[in-house]
Amino acid sequence: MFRKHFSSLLFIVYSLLGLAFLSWSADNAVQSLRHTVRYLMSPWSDPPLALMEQMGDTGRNLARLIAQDRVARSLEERGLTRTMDRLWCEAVEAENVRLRTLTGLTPLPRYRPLPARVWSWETAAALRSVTIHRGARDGIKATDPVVAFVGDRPAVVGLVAEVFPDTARVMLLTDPSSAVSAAVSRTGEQGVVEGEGPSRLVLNYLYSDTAAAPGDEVLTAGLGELFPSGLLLGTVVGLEDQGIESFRRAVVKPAVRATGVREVLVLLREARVPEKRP
Amino acid sequence: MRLKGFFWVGLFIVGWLFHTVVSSLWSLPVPSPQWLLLAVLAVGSLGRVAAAETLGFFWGLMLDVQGSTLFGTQGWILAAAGFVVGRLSRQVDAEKALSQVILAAAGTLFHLLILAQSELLFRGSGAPHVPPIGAALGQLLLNAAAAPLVFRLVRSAGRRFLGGEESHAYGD
Repeated sequence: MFRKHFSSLLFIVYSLLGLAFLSWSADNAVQSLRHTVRYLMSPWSDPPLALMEQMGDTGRNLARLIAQDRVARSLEERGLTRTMDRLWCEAVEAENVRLRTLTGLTPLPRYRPLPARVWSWETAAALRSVTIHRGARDGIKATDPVVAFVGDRPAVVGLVAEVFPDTARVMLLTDPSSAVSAAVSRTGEQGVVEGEGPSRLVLNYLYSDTAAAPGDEVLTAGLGELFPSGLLLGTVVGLEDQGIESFRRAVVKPAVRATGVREVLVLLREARVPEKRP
Repeated sequence: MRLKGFFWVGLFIVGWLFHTVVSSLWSLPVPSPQWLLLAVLAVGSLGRVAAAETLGFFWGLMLDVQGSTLFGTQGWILAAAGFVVGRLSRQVDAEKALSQVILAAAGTLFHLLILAQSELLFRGSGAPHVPPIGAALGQLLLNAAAAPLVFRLVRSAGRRFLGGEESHAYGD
């Protein structure tokens, strides 16, 4: 009988106990017990928590290590690709030298960049120019090209016009006496870019049926070896008649605004050494 | 007999430790599943009525001490849950995951309702410890989701240490 109803009797006991605790406001009496239990629990609940945190740190470090390993592999692959590219370039250069020797062409000049700060700019003077704080002592010579970076692309600022021992005067592209051989990047049409004011260039001698259009980039053509080819000059903003039959000209917005330039690179021409026949 | 005693004491300690550690590490915006309630339901589903209500009563009292509910509330709720599920263990096939989920959901609802009622009855003045509806719904879903895991663990451990047979005798 007792065994059959044991669980029911036990439940009645637990219910009475629970009711008693609640009715006699045992909650107030239990406050100190509550604090004691929390105090007693904290030492042995800390080690497992610390262990879990340590395991979490280990996992995070492992994940970081795997990510770093992946980056290292990627860099290694890129390094290998660069090495292959360099070897290929060396082979092409050697082939170029052989062909130039056979055809009797002179090699294109090499340039070494020299950084320089702009000291002043004078756009109102007859010669629209800026002065830089490098001069003859640094190896600068007249007609050395001067560029500045627009984003990550080199763009033409002008040409060294006068050289002093410690400074040099750079004739800006926008100077009316400036003329640079140029090409429209998209169509390959060539012409001459001339300065026409502080923020205006014109690309002359385009054919009347030119395919150049606003938005096209204008780059140096590299003719005459004053500038290396491929440097940014500006962007076509419009086309107009040139007054000469069969020719039109493009109005070009310069890529570099002289008053916004603080640092430039002077491209020093390296002395040509006679090429050895490979 | 001695092994059975060790099993119940071990389950009591391991259950409490598990609850404490997991609740401490829980970082989601909803409360962690009520592991002890689920364990009581699982023990009850084995037909161990007295064990289920005893474990429930003492775990509940410890939860009252650890938490902010009135002392005695959760003790009685968990004991009652163990008693009811133990009594129903013959009618319910607790091997099925669906039954386990339904038992967990019903147990959670029972826990929440009785907790809210007892707080309103016995707390007197001051704000009662009644969870908001969103938290209560989250609790119900989490308990239902965790139920199959807890039931499987408790039932397999019970079979291993208690000799394999389920007891559906009223007296345990």
